[in-house]
Amino acid sequence: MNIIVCTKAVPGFVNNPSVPDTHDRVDYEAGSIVINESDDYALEAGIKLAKKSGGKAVVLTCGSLAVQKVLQAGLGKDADAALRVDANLFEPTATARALAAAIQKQEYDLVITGVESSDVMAAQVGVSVAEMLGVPFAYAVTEIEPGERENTIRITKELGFGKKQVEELDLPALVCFQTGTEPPSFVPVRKMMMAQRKPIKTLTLNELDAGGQRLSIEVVDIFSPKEADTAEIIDGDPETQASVLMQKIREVL
Amino acid sequence: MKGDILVIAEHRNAVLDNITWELIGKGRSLADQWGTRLAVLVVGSELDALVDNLKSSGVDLVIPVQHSLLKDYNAELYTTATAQVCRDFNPALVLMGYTYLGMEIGPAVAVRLGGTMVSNCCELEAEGDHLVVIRSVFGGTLQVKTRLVGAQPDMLSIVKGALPRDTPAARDAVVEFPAIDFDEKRLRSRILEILAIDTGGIDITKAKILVSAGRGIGGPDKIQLLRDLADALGGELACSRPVADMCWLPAAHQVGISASTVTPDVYIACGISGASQHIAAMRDSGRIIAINKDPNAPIFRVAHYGIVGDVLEVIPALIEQAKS
Amino acid sequence: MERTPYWLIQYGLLIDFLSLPTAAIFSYGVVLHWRRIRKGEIKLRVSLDDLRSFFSRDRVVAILWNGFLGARVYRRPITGLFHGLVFWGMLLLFIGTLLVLLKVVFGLGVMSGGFYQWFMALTLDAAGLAVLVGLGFLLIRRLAHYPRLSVPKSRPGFVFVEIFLLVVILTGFVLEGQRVQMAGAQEPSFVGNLVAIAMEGMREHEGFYITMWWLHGLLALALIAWVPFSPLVHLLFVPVNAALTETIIGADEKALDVSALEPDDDGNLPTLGTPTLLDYTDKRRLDFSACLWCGRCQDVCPATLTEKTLSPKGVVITLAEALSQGRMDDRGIIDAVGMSVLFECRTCGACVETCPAMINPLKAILGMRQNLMMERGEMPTQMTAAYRNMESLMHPFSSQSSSSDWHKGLETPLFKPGETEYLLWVGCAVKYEDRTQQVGRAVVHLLNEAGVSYGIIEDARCTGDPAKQMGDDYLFGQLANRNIDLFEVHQVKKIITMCPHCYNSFKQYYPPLGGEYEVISHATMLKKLIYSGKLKSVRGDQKIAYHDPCYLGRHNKIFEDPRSIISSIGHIVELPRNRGNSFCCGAGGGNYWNEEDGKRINYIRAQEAFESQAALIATACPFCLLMLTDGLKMYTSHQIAFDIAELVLKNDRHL
Repeated sequence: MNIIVCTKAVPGFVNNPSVPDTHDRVDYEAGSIVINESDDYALEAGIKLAKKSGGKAVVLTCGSLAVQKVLQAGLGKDADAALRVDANLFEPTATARALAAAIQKQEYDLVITGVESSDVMAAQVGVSVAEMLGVPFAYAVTEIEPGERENTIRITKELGFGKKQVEELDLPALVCFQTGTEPPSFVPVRKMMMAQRKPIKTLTLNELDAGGQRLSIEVVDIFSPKEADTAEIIDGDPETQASVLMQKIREVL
Repeated sequence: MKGDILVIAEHRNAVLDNITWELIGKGRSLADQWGTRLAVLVVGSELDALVDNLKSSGVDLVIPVQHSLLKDYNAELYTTATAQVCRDFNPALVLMGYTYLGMEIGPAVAVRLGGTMVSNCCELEAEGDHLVVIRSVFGGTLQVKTRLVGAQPDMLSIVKGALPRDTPAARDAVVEFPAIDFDEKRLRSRILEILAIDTGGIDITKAKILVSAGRGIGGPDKIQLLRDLADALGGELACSRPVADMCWLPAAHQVGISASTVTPDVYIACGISGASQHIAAMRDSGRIIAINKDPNAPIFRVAHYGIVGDVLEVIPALIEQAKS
Repeated sequence: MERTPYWLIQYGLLIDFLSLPTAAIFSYGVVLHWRRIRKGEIKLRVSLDDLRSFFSRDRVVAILWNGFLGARVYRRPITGLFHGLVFWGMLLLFIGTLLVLLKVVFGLGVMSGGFYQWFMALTLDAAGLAVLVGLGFLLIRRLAHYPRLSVPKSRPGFVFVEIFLLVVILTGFVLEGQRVQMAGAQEPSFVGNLVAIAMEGMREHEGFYITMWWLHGLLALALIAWVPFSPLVHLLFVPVNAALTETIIGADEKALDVSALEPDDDGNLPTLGTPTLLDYTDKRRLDFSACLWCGRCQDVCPATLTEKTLSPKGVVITLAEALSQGRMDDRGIIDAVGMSVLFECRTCGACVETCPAMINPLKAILGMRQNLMMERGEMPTQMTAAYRNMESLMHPFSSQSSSSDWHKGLETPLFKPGETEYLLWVGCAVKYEDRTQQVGRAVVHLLNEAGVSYGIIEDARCTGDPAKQMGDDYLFGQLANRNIDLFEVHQVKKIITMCPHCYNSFKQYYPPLGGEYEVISHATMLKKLIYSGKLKSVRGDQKIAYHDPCYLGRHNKIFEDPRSIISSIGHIVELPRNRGNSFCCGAGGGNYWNEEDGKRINYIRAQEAFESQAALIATACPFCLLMLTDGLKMYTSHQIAFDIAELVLKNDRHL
């Protein structure tokens, strides 16, 4: 099974966020660049599955040169190849279009993405890519295995409310992988350094014919969330706080 | 752009989820503002009771998609059904919850229709010809105001509990069953099994008082302290997803959209920062009490009472109080 | 009176010629060690200039005091006494034997007159007796499996060489006794005289005397030749080790500049950390050779004392055994020690401070950690959260607090390039932990009051020290370089730190990366301000105990400044384990963010502090403060642990 894993590089923390005059994005200084958490789970699941089934794992991202380290981390985790679409996109649909175009140029059986990025927090790109590719999809997947029938996979996904569903999907397919119980491994420096010497293929939006669409959203403003004015903060030392709190609890019961 | 509004209903065990009422409330006010129609889509296999309920919910039109194939939730079929209904009804705006359903089929329907989707919104208004929403970014530390300027339909997924749960005045809604063809043979996904988390007899949804552990308590050895408080108050233990993932408590105790949604009289969140997936599953509790060292924790935005302090200092004092 | 050397012995001079093959075998033994020690990848090259600066006053003192006199052995008085009896006794006997040789070859007049009576006869007899008594104690202790010596293992070769030496001394006394008997000598050699009485019946057995003479002589030579093959080789190694040891523990730790590493022609990268014996420096291999498996390190190690799986002795002997077996490129030694064992080390340095052979087990442990983290990608699961935070948030805490929350509502000056004198480096613990934010606020109040020219840089987060402690010098380098760039932009020259880990980082790890600053800890700063009158203090009656933080005290030798501060506001109470002997709070080595097995180190120290019956427990490190505060909850519900800055502020406010 040949697998493409879509990963996103997100900032660890941001300084000086602002909205540029083009209103097409949020500008900021990235304190650090790391791989998006659920994408890291997706990456490990994808590489593991590719190795198990004797296929190749390709890690793909859409971003500027600064995001290369995320691809290198993927190579450091023994992905077979890395691919970058050179574009700095904010709108989920535009990102999905770029990724889908890049994917269509590859040989693949399965695409794995994460569930939600920690910066834009849209949770849209994965499923959008699936629909653009015209393949079946599943969201919030926690387990993937090759299916019993040929050319299928067997997945377990979260339904919410304590329920999970086991499904069989025909390949090619796309799944959005959920964060799980075992934290992903970190890439030791040695593997990062070795990975830095492996080539990363770059594709442009022009090549992919995936750029140039009109924006469908405009970023108007960015601000800190309103201070919570609903919570009554109880002050004092722990004994006082506990006493006041107990009183409030007794009122309710 | 003004036009008809479609709400995607969510239901479970023949009961409509609260998000549906939140969306209908907002949909109704927008539809009134625009002078257009509000419809609600409900998909499933046995919809009579739900349809009855929705008829008097304040919508103008109920669109039930009923088929035996829709008994279990199949994303492919639900996407097809929703997209088909949207093509036929041609709404300007589609509203859904930022839930598993909204995250799974929302983007797919949007791409299929060529519409504009914005997810994870907590506020929305019509400003002139365009809809403007407010949504969280950068882990919730910041919010952006976004205007939708793309092709219609505008599709928005709204965070559960962000909109008020208004009950608009009932009006006699029309029910229209659309004709949708489901070709089972051309399905590319099949449901094999439905699993439930092994609760081991623990049902936190029945408890009146929940003492909930978050990662901020510091370690699995601190759980006993919370257990002592739960016992002293006559309540149960609960926890956030990271705590269950790390196995400090069995998954049966987990409160979150992937696990249990709870509505106790008292919910004491200890060391829980307040990720939206957690808040969505407990915000209907009678009284929410948050204890956290971090005054910026999002949990304080939904709590009724808050203590900015060390859980390990407050809880013992609280146990003393509870025992007296 | 005069005594004839080699009396009755024909060809006695032969014994002196036999010293040549003895020396040859001895040298061969030393060469074997030398080869093993010098076998590594990293070659020490010393130039003449280096040598001149090498022999600094501190180092010469260390060589004599620790190396030759073995001062550390005496820290355990009883063992010290008996070891001293053996050492000094043997030294005297050795000198005596040399003097006889000089008499034989050059005619030196040592065998007659007063010198003979009082030195050669009396003193050397006493020396021999001392050796016997000393050996007796050491041998019995070893045979009775005294735990420190035998857990986890006992060093082979000790019993043999102790008995060997015992036999040499005993044959010497037998010989002397018979000689005294036969010659009818009237000498103050009291032991010999006693033996003579016992040997009355042997008066006529000249043959026995001659045999005993050769036996004693040959055994003595054999023992000398045997030295390099036995534990006695420490006679050579300890002085050399003492010469090569850094006088300040912290000074020995350079961060690997990983970003500068280049692959060789075959595309291989240099080794990161120390997976095999070849990857250590010569000094480390000397350490492993010099180790006598005495176990004093594990007796002071906080991990061993709280029944965790780490023992510094265990680590060193695993490496020592591999070295003695010649397993130089065995990649299994890290696994033989164990990953979780290596991460239990708090890097407190107690083992380094206490080792009589001047061994540094800490460097070996850190070298292995570096390999685990940077090559093998292994670390305890619990620590990964802190590690990931360092990567994404640039500090190890999970807090959502913004960079400026710690001083909310408090007027805190910003550092202005070219204008401000001191950068007040806040550090991650003070910035992001609730309890320790109070320390930062106290220091701001005090510096404001004293009118010091200082400022903060809001953007600053963490020195990167937690990453270095865990073993990832690369991540450390990333954070350090970010800070160095930040300081360059701000033209920072002087830094005040509130945390000993920050202090140690700036002082020891940053200079090789290009960051050289004048670093002053808040303990030193506040002491200066109090004693120059810029801050007021009134000495109250309160008893205040002081806990020496490992990285301020043991690692950087700052013991007195915090004490001066405390003495200016109250009565200082010394804890049983203080200064260089201080007991770690348990947070070091990245273990603040790890699960703890066994007993809690911080509870042990908190108990020690509580039992001092002081009203307050003072410390000068935010991590120590957090650990002690947590530990003291087991003994009292009152808050009695404070940073020295908080105490000065409280005292100041009362005026």
